Amino acid sequence: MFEGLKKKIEEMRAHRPSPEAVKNAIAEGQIWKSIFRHGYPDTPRNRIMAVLSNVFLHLHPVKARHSGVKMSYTWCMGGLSFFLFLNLTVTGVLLMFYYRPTAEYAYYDIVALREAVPLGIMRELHRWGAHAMVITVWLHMFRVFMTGSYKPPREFNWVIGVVLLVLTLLLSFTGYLLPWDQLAMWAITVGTNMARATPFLGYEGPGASMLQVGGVKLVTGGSDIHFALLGGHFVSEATLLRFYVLHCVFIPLVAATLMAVHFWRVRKDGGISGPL
Amino acid sequence: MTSSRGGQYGSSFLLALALAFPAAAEAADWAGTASFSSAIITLGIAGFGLLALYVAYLTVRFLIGAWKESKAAQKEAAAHAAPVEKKDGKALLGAALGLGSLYAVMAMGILFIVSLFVLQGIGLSFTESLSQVLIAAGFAGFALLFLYIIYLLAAMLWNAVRPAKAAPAASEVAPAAAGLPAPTVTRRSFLSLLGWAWVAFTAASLGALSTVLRFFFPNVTFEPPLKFKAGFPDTYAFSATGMVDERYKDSHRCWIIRNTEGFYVLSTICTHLGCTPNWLLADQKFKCPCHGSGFYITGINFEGPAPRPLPRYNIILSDDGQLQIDEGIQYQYELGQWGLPGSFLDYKG
Repeated sequence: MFEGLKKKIEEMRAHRPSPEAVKNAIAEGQIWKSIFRHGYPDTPRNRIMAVLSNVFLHLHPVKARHSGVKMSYTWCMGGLSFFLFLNLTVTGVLLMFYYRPTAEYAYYDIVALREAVPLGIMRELHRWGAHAMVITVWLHMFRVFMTGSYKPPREFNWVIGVVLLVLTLLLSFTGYLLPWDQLAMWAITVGTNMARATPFLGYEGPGASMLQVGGVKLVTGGSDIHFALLGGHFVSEATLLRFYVLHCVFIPLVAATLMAVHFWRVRKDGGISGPL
Repeated sequence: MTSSRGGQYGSSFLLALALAFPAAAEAADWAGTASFSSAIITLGIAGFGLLALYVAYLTVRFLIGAWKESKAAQKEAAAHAAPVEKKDGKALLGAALGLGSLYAVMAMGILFIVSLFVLQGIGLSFTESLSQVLIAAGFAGFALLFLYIIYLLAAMLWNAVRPAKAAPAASEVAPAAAGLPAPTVTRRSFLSLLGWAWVAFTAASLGALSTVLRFFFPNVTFEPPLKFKAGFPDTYAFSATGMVDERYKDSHRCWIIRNTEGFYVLSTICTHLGCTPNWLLADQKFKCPCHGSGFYITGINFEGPAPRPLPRYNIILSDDGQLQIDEGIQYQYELGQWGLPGSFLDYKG
């Protein structure tokens, strides 16, 4: 009854291409070759090419030291910091779909993110991830210090790392205002009041009173760094918007750029930590 | 909706001048106020002006050089009795170009001064009109640059699409005689051009940067005015020790306190780190929730980390009988200013 069909199946089985042939057909097709410029990573050369010809992987060392993959040595704190940064970027972008940085809506949007939006844990992920990132960044710095990994030729990467630490703290600080509750308002009031005491740039800072000619002060409450930071004389809606833009766009862009440099330098300065 | 910055460009230009001439600073009357940012911008514009002056100087020097060259060429021609038309022609061309540039600079200068007078004629002060003209000159420079770039692009396009009319003419010339055209841009002049391009790029970048800096200082802040009417004095309750009125606490950050002698106004900004203390009626004190600073009803600090008393604001009785408060004028206890008129309004209801 199914003779014809059976015969056809037999025929197809006899002529079926081997898995090897399918693999080769794909790997030698134009699509594959346009993306991957090297063969299977089965030789040392191809393994190196796999890393070098990938924009993300090429920031990494081609080879890692044995000590570089020892958890007891690195604590994996740099990797964890980066993981948390990625996590914060994803959750942060998701939060941006609901959050409006205005005095009228900001607080209620934060409440709604917890009460009315599915996956109300999203904001908590962002918040706890931020706390965790500050901790891992500090621990990373501590580890790098304890293993002496700041020594030549890694001095410059230490400096970039310090800038990244400051950017992490600034991200934390700017994000602090966004819930727009009493804690946020007064914490930012207290924190930004320090800017008034910046040397020369803050109107209560040392040297600011020297910047005057004929009795006209150059640095006043309306022209100092504190004013530029807040967009006014005190924490207001203008401040909320400024901090929102700094938090969501400016500082992450700068941080991501410096991170790329940081990782690249790890590779160029002799791989992950360890003696040279 | 206050703190307009009108006229600050002008006064800061005076400042920029005064930085160069301290004596002028003494002589000048500093009526306006200037901010750091507008001073930066003014200095940037002044930099452009200096650059223009330098270009004018170069033009004049070039002109003199061309003139000397043509003189020398004439002398040489007289000495050797040989025609040196080519060199002479070059010098003449240079002279023409130089004269043209000089005239252009002079015309711009005249335009500049005329606009200055015109602007003063419509009621702007000298400093204001000066700054306006300088800004306009900057914009005009940018516009000229823009037009020049468009011209270059158009010329390039025209050269690209026009029919090869020169081709048969070139074939008529003997190959040996044709050779390479004399280079209009030599290695040396290219490096000089590169230098100028670099200077221009740096100037433009600095100008753009100062503009971006200025961007962060809005001309208007949507904050409540520092000077406001606070209603009629009889609407305030009072007692021998004083009653604290909080009706302007949220909007204007001040407490109005009335006792049997009269009124005074206290700032609600804690002198420690700027939080707002609460008035605790039962304890008769202002208590800051942030770090625990305490103030008596007079404003004097007595507990917590606050380093000094709360400042008082100016309060007077205005002509219409209302209280008028000016937060732009502060009286600090530690400076002995609480006895000054305006720090306390004598009013016995």
